[in-house]
Amino acid sequence: MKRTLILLPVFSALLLAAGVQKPEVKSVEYKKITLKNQFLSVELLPESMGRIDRITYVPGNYSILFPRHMVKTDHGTLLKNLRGNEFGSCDSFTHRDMRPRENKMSVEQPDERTVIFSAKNYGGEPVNLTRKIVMAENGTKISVTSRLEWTGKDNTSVAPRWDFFLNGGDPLPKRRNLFIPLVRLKDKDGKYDTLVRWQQRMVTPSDNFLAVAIPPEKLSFVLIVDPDSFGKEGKFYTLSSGYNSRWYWWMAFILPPQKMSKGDVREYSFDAAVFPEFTDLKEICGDIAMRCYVTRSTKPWILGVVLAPSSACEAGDIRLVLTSEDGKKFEKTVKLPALIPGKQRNVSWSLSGVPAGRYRVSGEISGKGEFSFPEPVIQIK
Amino acid sequence: MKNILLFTVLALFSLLADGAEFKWELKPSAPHIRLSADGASYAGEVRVYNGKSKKYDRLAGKINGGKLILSANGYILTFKPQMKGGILLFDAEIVNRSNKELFLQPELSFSLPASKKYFFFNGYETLQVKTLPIRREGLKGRPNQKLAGVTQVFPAAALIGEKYTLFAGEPPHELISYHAAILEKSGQNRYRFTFNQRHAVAPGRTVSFKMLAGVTATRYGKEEAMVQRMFDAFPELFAPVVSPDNPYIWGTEQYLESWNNIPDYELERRYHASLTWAFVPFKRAGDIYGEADLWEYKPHTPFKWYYNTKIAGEVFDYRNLSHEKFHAQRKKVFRKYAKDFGYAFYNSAAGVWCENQLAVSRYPDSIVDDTDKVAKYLSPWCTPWDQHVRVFSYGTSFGKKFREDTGKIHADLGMPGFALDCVTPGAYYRGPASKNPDMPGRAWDEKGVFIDQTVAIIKMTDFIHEELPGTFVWLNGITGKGDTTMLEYGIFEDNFRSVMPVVRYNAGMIPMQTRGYGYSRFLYNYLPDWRNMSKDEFKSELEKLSLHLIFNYFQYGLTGTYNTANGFGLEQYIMPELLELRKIGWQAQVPLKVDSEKLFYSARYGRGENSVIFMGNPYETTDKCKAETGNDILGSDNYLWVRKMRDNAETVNRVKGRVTAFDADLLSRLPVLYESVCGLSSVPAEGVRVKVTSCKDINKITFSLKFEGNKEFATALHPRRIEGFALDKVTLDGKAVTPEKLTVLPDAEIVMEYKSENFTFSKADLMKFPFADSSGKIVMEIVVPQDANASELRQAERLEKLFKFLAEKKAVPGADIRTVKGSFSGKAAFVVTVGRPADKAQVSLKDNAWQISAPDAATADKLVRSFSYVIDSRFEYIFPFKPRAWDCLNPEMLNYFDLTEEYLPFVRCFENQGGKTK
Repeated sequence: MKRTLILLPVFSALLLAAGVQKPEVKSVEYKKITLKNQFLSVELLPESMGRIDRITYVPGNYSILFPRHMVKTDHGTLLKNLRGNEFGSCDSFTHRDMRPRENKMSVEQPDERTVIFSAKNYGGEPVNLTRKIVMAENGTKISVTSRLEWTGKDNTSVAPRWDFFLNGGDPLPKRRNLFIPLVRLKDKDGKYDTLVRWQQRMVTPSDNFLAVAIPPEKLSFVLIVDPDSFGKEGKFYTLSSGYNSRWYWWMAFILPPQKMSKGDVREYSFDAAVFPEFTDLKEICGDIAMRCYVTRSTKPWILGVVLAPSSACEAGDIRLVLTSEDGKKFEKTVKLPALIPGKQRNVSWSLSGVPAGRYRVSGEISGKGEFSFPEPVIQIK
Repeated sequence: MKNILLFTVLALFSLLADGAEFKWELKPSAPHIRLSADGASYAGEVRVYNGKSKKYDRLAGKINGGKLILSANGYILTFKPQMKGGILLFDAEIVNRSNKELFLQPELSFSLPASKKYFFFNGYETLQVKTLPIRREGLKGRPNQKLAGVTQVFPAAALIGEKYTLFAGEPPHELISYHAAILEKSGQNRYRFTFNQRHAVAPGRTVSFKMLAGVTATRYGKEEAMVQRMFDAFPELFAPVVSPDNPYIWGTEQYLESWNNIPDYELERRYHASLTWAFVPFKRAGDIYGEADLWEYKPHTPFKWYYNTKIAGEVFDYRNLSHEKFHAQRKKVFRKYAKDFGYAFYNSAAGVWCENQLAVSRYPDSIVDDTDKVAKYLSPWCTPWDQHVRVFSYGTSFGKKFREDTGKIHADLGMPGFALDCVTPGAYYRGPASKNPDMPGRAWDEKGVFIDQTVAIIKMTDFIHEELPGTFVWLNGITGKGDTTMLEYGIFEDNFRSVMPVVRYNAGMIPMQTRGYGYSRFLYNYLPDWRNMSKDEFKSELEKLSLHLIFNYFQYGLTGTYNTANGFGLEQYIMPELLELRKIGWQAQVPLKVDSEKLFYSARYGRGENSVIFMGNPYETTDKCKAETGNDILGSDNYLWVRKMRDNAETVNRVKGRVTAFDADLLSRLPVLYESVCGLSSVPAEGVRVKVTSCKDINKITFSLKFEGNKEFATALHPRRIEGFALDKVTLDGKAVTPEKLTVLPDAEIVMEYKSENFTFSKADLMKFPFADSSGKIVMEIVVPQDANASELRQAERLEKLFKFLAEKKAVPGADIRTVKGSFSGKAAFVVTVGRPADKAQVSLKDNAWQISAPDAATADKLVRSFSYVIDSRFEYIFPFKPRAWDCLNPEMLNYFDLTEEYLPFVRCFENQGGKTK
């Protein structure tokens, strides 16, 4: 018999149609390290530059930062693209954007309040970096100290920066008057500053802090940069924008550029502090948030100063100074009891005997440093 | 009732000869159209929405002469049906019999049962039907921040069911300013799928337009089937307009390197580059010629040195360049380089932008005021000192001058092509010309009459092709009839994913290049830990990324530039196949099934017996799989496949019904190609088994078909077309036969032999030819006649430079090669003659010399270029990572890993004997 056996295509039902296969898309699940006390819970991402991902105010269960959300798209194993909001705060440098990067960091945890991240060639840059993050004991702040060793080309200008992406909240506060402090511009009389509210730009402020009030949560969030690190050339940057139909606020500080050569080391630090029940913040002294007011319902008028610490503060003195337009000073030192984070403390000064005129308020807190209120400029009649 | 039946036009079912998969019926009353496929029926209605009354007009219908004629108050609408390919095409017209301008929106509207299983392709993307309505209205597209980022919509939409896809639309490149695709609910458990256009029809005028509809089986993808039906129905509208022999459009482009710098022919040849974006060869946008009376003007910001101030070695510094010197220099540059390097004159975008003062003073009627999702002003831009304003270049004063200038420039400079940038839709012109009742593409909206920028661009591409025949049009974007197109996104950019595949659907078979930033910016973010990697780890990541590019190049018929090629051996190695496939023509539908999940990438090029299928397995292991091709999608025959290799291959095919099955090798991380070697018009009902082998040489290609265990059967055989080769003979069991009529006996063998049209020598001849002395140094003479003409000297110079390039790059120890006039001395030589009596386009080996002859200069250019690629196969050179320009792999990384002079090793996947590089 003649061979007529034909091997026929019998597997049609089992076959898959070719075509453009869709890449696999997955949200990135990050490993997290959490530091927590009665006020704050701070989540860190050791696999993503050691970022500060979330700062949650525990009593109100309010997440101050917009967390990092990245989506990994796997194009058949060859290309794994990461795209997302690129949020999460870490050391960055002005000439390279670290927001999309995902380097792993080495981790040490010497105690339950401290995490030390380190990396060689941090973020793919010629930088060996160590970052220490400490949660204040029963306080409302974290303190961050970074130490970078430059391993790249000599005489390279390096300007460290940190970017924070805040939850815009719901309802969204007015976009005007968002960031504190305000830019200090010279008053037309040339003696006092006027304050200009600013929303979205690079500024060189006269203070070393940048704050935002979140009225619905009755709290303020403040970045307090070590004055020595910030110097005179430090800058802040702010922006309010949207992601996934939600508003976010972008707060950043940029340290002065410094020429670095191979082996040079630079260290800088800042605090990220939360002040509960405090939305009219006007000044920061050390890590204490402050505002002041004048009562006019009784005579003599009383100058009141409200203090909110972010870490425990021993009892001491507060010196208050009124400075008139012609430079005359009136001073009073008031005993300051121990300050406890989460609790505000008022100090007052009866203004009896202070001549009529316009005055600025400044002063000093023992162990914390000087302060100077941009507002109010009080007028005694 | 009887009348209605009499006037009903009923086409025959299953017109497979025309590629139709459905029958259609036209009736005078709604539903006017019925499209029926096996087991499915779709009722459609022609409706007209009146933009002035804001209501649908009442239409009285009749069938006359095969046409559907619908009368309404003030106008008559006629739909004349015809089958074109697998599509029902309507030539339609509206006759305005009133004394008022009409704002009409004719619609093809289908009603069908609701189902959440549908997908809807709206012209941009395919969406699962979850929330209705889905409306894609007009040509505004998806706004994108990038210039040229607004993607033209595909001119048809589709409702994709599990078994069938119903589609409606219009042919490509219609002068239509507004069309829409809508899927919405229509009563309980019904959907309405509508495609519409808008026309403003002046009193007494007739507006002609086209619409189309069809049904196709939902196989091998979703919208791909419908897009393929469009390709098949209008192949001429999805292909280059210039001749396939155009020497410029089929190569790669190298963007600005041959423009800003003095170009190097041999370098560009090695990158397969054949065209150059001749960017902004003018002082002022809108004055592309450079008129004397427009030369002196005060720019928006002072003239300055810009990156295109230097062109091919000449300085065009407009701070001090005189009008006369400008013209002299520009002419010099174009006359010297334009034809060798495919200069495409950057034509003030596509006549879309004009310097603002010029437009306001000379062409105020041409200014486009639309600011809805589009910019009216642009600054800075191509001439960074100017403020540009958007203009409309058809039927306006600007359009008239722009065409005059385009012609003058072409006559003056003799460039082979024009580069049209910003060829995007979505800007509405409402100026005086839009009021002209004879202007094409007049549409309407709540603000009145407008014409989309699309219309002007299509007219501009038509103008170039019609008035300057043979001149190629290079588009950035896809609007109008281009001959080649640039996608200004790199494959690693998110925008690439957002516009693909619709950009490829619009381009059809037109060659396409991507131009992005390659690895330069991307890699810092993608490999943030690169400094902590070992060299091998870094190279491994690069290799994967390069494969991703290569697979995407094959997937979409794209080429990149030097910035993804340098250092990436495989990308350089596969380029001949990639270019060959791209020329065969990318197709939307890949009629391929496999029993493997490792087929991540696939593509099809060509039709029928000229098809090639690409398969890409990105995973770490190779997979052998069963593959089937749906031959009815490819053409009217059944097709036999063999793995496409440069030397030889063997593949066993099993054909039954309209399916060919074979075992495919899904090689890990390598492109795999299968080529159809022929089509058989018929095979026995029980099927056939055929072992197909290929054997390829420089001078000869042989395909043999060994039938195994078959019954005798009769068939026509349609051999594959191979560029550069002619079918020499077909034998059946050793006897020469006519392939159109064969009787295939049991276990027969058919052999198809092709001969090279130009080369008469074999690879073995090439490999043993004594190009070099015992030290490996090239020692050759190039002999031209004593009275050598310009072409002979030019080809001699090119051959010289080929070897000098190799010596310069240290690919050979040295090159002692020179051109001599006179006669062949007996030393190893190239003997070049062009335009001499009896010269034919041929390279042959005689005695100790390569005899190169061509009848004319153009043929000589082509021949020597082809021969140079043949020589490359003996003297391979792979560009190392060393950056050619700023957008290559960053020197910081290259220096860190000491990679500058290296390239990635690669597998010679298209050769059996090649193996790995050292």
